[in-house]
Amino acid sequence: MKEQNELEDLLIKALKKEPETSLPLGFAAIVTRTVFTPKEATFRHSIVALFYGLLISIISCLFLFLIKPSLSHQVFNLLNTGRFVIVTLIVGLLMIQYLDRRFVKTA
Amino acid sequence: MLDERDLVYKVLNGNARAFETLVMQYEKLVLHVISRLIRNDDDLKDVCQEVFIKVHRGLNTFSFKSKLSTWIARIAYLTALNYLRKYKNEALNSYDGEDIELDNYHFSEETPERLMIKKDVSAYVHDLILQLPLHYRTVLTLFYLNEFSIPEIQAITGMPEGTVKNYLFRAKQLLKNKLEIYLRK
Repeated sequence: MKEQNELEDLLIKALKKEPETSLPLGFAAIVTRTVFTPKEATFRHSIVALFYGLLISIISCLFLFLIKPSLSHQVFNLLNTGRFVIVTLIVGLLMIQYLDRRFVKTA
Repeated sequence: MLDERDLVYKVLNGNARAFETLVMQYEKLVLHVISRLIRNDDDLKDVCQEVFIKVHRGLNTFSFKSKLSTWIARIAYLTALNYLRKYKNEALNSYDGEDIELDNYHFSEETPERLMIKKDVSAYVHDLILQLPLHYRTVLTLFYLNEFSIPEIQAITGMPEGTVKNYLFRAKQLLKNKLEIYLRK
């Protein structure tokens, strides 16, 4: 009986002993850094930024029209003349952003 | 040790220091659970990291119905199971219905490495545990190493209380028998 109790104690002691495996030093800091590192801006952010940019431009033009109608006509004519250049510029920038994220950053 | 609620609220408010404290408090618990299920040391760190990332993501769903340690242990257990299913094709026999025959369980043949291990009782028992079927070594680890109660083990693993007690008893008996033979030599 005593032998069995001793065997039991030995087994429990062995079961409670911590394994020798351990995590690397500073594991907590590494995980925290991984979790709290800001995520990279996605392509969606570029579209959202473009939307807000256009919105601000429209509001600015509206204020210009209310304050100085004559000047606003000049601005609108200029924008109208160069509309294809402006659109090409915006599309080109978005294309570069997209290609960069798709091919360069995934490599 | 910070109060559980206080710690959780701080982490949910974006306090990185609080999260680091949480990781430090529970990394041993997670390591014990994962290391008994996943034997590859290279993958151990990655899986442990994945557990804490899941803890951070899911912390807003934690409702204090159980202890934080129980909740984290469950995430660790499920993450380890997913890893085993995905990469190791380890037989994850369901504990309902399919009772793993443990009475005549055969441990690996003795190799020179195993003979060396046998000189140390703890190392020998540890080696035997690693050879046991997954659910048996899980309950042994959670009960003895992490000192969870039977109801807590039930909450972590999803196994019925009776099954947990059964696995504990049978695994312990088997190890005791092997240890007895070992000590007689």
